[in-house]
Amino acid sequence: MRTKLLLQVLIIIAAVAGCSGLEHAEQGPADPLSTATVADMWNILDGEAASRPYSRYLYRMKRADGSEGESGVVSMAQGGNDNMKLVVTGGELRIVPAESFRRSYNWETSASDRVPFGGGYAAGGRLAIIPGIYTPVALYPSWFPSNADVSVDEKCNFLVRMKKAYENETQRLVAFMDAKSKLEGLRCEVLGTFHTVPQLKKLVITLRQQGKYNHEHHCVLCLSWSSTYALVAISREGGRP
Amino acid sequence: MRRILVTLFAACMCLYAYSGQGETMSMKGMSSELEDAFLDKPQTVRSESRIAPGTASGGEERSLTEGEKWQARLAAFLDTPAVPPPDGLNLKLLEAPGAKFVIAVFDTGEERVVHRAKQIAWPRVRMLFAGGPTPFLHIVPAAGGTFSAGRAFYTIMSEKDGFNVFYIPQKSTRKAALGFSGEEGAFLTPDGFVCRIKRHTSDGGGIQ
Repeated sequence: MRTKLLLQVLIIIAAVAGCSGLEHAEQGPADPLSTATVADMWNILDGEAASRPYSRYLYRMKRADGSEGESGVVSMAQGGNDNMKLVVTGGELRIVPAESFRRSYNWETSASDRVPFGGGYAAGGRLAIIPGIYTPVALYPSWFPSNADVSVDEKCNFLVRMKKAYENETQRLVAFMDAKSKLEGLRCEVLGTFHTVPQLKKLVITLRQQGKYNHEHHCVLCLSWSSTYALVAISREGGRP
Repeated sequence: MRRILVTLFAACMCLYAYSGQGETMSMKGMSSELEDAFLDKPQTVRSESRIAPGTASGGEERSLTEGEKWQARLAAFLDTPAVPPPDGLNLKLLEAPGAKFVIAVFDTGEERVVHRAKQIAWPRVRMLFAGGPTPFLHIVPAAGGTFSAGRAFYTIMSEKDGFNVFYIPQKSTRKAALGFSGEEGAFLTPDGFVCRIKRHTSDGGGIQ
C-alpha cells in the first residue's frame, strides 16, 4: 500500500516537472530574455558596424584543447556576471574576466581583449562575444501614429489597429482617421521578410551588397499581424518629408 | 496496476528528459545562428567563409552550377538556412517535371529518444536545426520511392489527402506505417534522425 502511494506521488512530481520542461522547450528562442530592444534594432539597421552596444551579449569560451567550455549571457544593464564584465571603452567593449574564470581557461588577458560593439573574438579566438538578441520587435519611425499599431500586408498596404479602448465609437473613429492620415501618401516597399534577428542581419548585409539598401527610412513591421516581420523601406510620395 | 503506474512514471521521466534536451539544443542553435550572422569567423576558418557564392577562389565571377541554383531554391522551399547542392539522381529528379517529395534528414546525434519512428511537429523543432549541421537531402518521385535515414530505409507512398511513410523495424519483418495528411510532415527515428518531408508539385522544371 505504501509503495503504491509513493509511486503515485512520484508520478505527480514527474508529470509536473515534465510539463514545465515542455513549456520551456516550446518557448525556445522566443524567450523574452532574447528579445531585442528598439535600440538593438536600430543598431542593426543603421550602419555596417554597430555604433553603440547591444543590450545583451552571449559569450562562449573554448578550452585550450578546443573543446567547448562555458557559455553565458551578459546583460549590459547589469554590466556582467560572475565570469566576466563587459565595459564600454571608447567605441569598443573591453572584456574584464573574473580571476577564477581567467585562470580556469589559462587566459592571458591583454590590451587586445576588446571587441567591437557588433561582437567578435578574444582570448586568441577562444572566446566569442556575440550580440544576444534573437527575437525581433517592430520598429516604427517616431512620426508614425503613437496611438496605433501598424502592420503591413504582402501588397504593402498599411494595416492599422488602435492600441487602446475608446469610450465611444466616435472617439475611436476620429483616432483611427487621425492615425490613417499620418500614413497617407507613404510609399512602401517590402525589402524582405524574416522571423529572427540573425535573419534580419543577413538580410541587411545581402541588401547592402546588392546596393538595394539605400533608402533613408526603414522600419520593421509585422506582416499582416503574424509572427513574420517585414523590413520595409518607406518614403513620402513627391519627396514630402 | 503497479505495472501501469511504473510505465506512466517512466513515460513522464522520458518526456521530461526529452523536453530538457530540446531546450539545450535550441540555445546552442540560437548561439550558432547569432554567431554566424554577427561575427566574421576567426582566421582559421575565414578563408572558406569569405568566398561569396558565385565567386571563384581567385575572385573571378563564374556562373552558378545547376546544383548551386537548386541549392538556393531548396533552401527557400524548405525554409532551412543551409542545404547541400543536389547532384546525381537528386538533381535529375528535381529537373524532371511532376510531383516529388523533398526530404531533409537532420542528424540529432541522440539515439533512442523514441523506440520507433514517431511523427513530430516540424514548427516546434525547426529552431533546433537553424544553426546546426547541413541536412542530407533526398528527392523521391511522388508515385513512390525509398530513402535512407541512418541505418534504416523508408518508403513514401502518395495518398489522396496526404502520404504514408513505411518503415521496417529491425527486429520485425512487419511493415509499419506513418500516415501524414497534407503536403508535409516530419518524424523522428529511433537512431536519432529527424526527417522532414515536403511535397512539391510543378508543371515542369521542378521547384520554382
